[in-house]
Amino acid sequence: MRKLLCLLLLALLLPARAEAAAALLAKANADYLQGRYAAAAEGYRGLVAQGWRTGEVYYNLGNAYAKLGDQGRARVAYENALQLTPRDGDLRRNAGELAASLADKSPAPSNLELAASYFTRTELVISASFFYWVGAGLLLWQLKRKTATRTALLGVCALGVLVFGGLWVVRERSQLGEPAVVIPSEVSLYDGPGRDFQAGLKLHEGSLVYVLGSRGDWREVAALGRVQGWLRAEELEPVDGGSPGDR
Amino acid sequence: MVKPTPGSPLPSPISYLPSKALLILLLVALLGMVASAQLQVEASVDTYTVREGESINLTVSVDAQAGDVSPELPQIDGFDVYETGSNFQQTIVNGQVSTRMALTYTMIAKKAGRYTIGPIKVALGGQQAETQPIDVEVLPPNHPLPGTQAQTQTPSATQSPTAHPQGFEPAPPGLDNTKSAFVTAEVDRSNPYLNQQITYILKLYLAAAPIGPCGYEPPETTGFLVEELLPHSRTYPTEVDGRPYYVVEERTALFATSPGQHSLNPARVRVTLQQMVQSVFAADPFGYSVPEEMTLSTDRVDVDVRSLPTEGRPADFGGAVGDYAMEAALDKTTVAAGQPVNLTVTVSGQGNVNLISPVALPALKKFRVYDTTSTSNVQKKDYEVTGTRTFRTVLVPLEEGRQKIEGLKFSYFDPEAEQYKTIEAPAITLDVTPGKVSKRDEGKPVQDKLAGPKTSLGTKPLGFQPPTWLGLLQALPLLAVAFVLGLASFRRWREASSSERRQSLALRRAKRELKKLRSVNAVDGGKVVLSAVHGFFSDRLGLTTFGLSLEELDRLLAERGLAPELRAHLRAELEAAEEARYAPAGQTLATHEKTLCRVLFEIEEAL
Repeated sequence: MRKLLCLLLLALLLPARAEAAAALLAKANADYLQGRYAAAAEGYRGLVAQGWRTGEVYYNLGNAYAKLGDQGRARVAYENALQLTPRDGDLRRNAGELAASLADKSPAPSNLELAASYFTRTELVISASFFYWVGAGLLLWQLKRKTATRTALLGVCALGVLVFGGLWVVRERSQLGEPAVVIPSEVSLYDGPGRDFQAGLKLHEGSLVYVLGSRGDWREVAALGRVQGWLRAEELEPVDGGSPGDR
Repeated sequence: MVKPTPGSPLPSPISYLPSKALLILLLVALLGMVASAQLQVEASVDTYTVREGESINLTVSVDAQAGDVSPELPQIDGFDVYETGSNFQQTIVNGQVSTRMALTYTMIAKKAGRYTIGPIKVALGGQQAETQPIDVEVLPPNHPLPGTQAQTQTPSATQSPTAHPQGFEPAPPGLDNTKSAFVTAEVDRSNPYLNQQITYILKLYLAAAPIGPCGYEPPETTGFLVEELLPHSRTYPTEVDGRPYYVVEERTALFATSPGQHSLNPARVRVTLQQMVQSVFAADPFGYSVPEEMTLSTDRVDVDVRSLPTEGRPADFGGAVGDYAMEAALDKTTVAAGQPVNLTVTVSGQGNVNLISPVALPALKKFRVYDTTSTSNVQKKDYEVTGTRTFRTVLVPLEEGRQKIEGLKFSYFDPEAEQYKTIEAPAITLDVTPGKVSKRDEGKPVQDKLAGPKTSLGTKPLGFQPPTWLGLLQALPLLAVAFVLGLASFRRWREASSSERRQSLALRRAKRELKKLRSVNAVDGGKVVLSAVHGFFSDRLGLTTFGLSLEELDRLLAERGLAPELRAHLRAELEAAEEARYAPAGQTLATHEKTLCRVLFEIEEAL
């Protein structure tokens, strides 16, 4: 009886919380449209804090940061959004505009990487798994009695596993480590984890790097596709908006 | 980057060994189908005078129209003759087939004296051709060679130290001249900087002509980038403490990818040489030659790679080591606003250009800047890796007027000067005329190009983090397929086992059945006998024999190789069982039980 009451209470509260979130979004959007970008960003961050880690909210947050001229945090928000809603046209356009305006240019992705970027990790895994399971079922059925239709369907499933599995592999391989974005306007890559090491290449705000390892407060990163070095952890903001299962 | 293929053959140095006293003989014969064939044959030697144990190379070339070539080598005293190469070419012009064949022979001189090679005859389709005879002379082993050796470039032990053959290069000191072949390896720099070119030099020293190509197994180059150098190999004569050698030299460029101690493990060369063996018979002063296959190894070469200095390292340094120059240019000097121009930045010079990072562009606020693409052109000249790395960037001017692109800098480390250098391209000017700038390319800041906000919250993620074991579920389909296949296999095995089991129990079942004869009358006993016997065959042979007549059963057993006596016994027992149907009441077939059991036992043994 107590459980039933709890469920009932939860069912009543959920719409209320969604309504509150919608109201918060409407207010943040209004702030944004009226040029109060800091207030808008605050509102979008509030939604994220409430668990609304959606592509739409991150997209709006990225826009607010971009308007504020905070290219680093804008890039973080857009990258988070791209992991959740990678086929959103507005998002791809805004993220592209921001990337083009940055001082550091990332290497152009290959065609396969570009194709893989249109899917989330979850979509690719689920699609590949779907074809894999159906294909396995067909194979079992086929062992009982072989038919041309089943053979054709088996081929389709194999192709599906190959395409989606292949894109998943490409997507995973293109990410050299955990993605993160440079926040300060300019930082130096050191060839070791400390100020005593030699500073080399300079990275600029919004540059996307991949964290390969860490030592204390320092992070070893791969930047601009091929340069490796060390940055302080405080100079980076990780791209971890959606939980891994939702990307 | 090109790596030498392990085991790839070095070019045979035979063609570079025309000198030492040797004799080559070649023979070619052509047969043709074409009656009007134009037949020509020529022969040449690389030297006319050699000493015992040395060799002469003989080449015979035959030109003819199409035909089957059958070489015919004349007997030549005083030489051991080995075929060392052949070359066959066929061309078709206006339907006419012509053939050119060249055979090469190495002839080892065994005995001093004057000899004549040929004439070498060739026959083709009824036509004949022959070469001019060639006179050669073989001198005793220690006899000095005449100074007027014809067509020879090989160093000779009799030549004065200053009369070296063409291309002669002195050998480094400390080499051992007691071997007829050996190999050395070295690097031109044992303490290079990171990414500085090191040249690995392998030298194969040969005192005699090799047979066939040499096999080269390059050293392991873990920790290095490898660039094959041009020319791939070169040969030259030399002397090691007065003994003439020919050297085959192979060079490879290496670029260390990490600082510290590196080792180049031994390279190996396989070569087969003609070796003179002194005869054990005192009466035979000349000896004879035998081919000897050798595997030669170099010593390990150690390289201590230095890190690049941290002092004075420019901020834009991207790892390039060498000596470079930089140029920058636009493909147009005048362009309308909104129209693209290509900015080409070229870095060229000595060093591994593939390691050059993109040249950072200065802030170009009045241009829209697209991604940079790069290409490399690696060249190898005079055993040095040089090249050009070109970066192309599309720029779209956003404002009219004279625009200036300046501040294009590139930094590299010069290992010779042991310091970093930064070079800057001269400023480039571009006249931008009025034009239509697309909305996308307007010089507006990125803030003004953004699409508007979303009014939907989107779907809230479940926040579900799949546990690891969920991934293991993916193995289920594979396990299911494996299980089904295994099950099918098990069933097949079990069926086979069942058949075997039936066979092993056939006699026991028959005996059990026949025991009933003790308690049933003759009429039923006949049925029992038939049931037991046919059941036995059914189990033992896997066949149903119930419907068979006695003759058919007998024929079947005969086909199975059963002895006639056994078949006769069985037939008699079965006939008795048949007849028992008409036996008077009270009679039994109990007396047949033992007989039948024995017959069936013997049949089982026989089967």
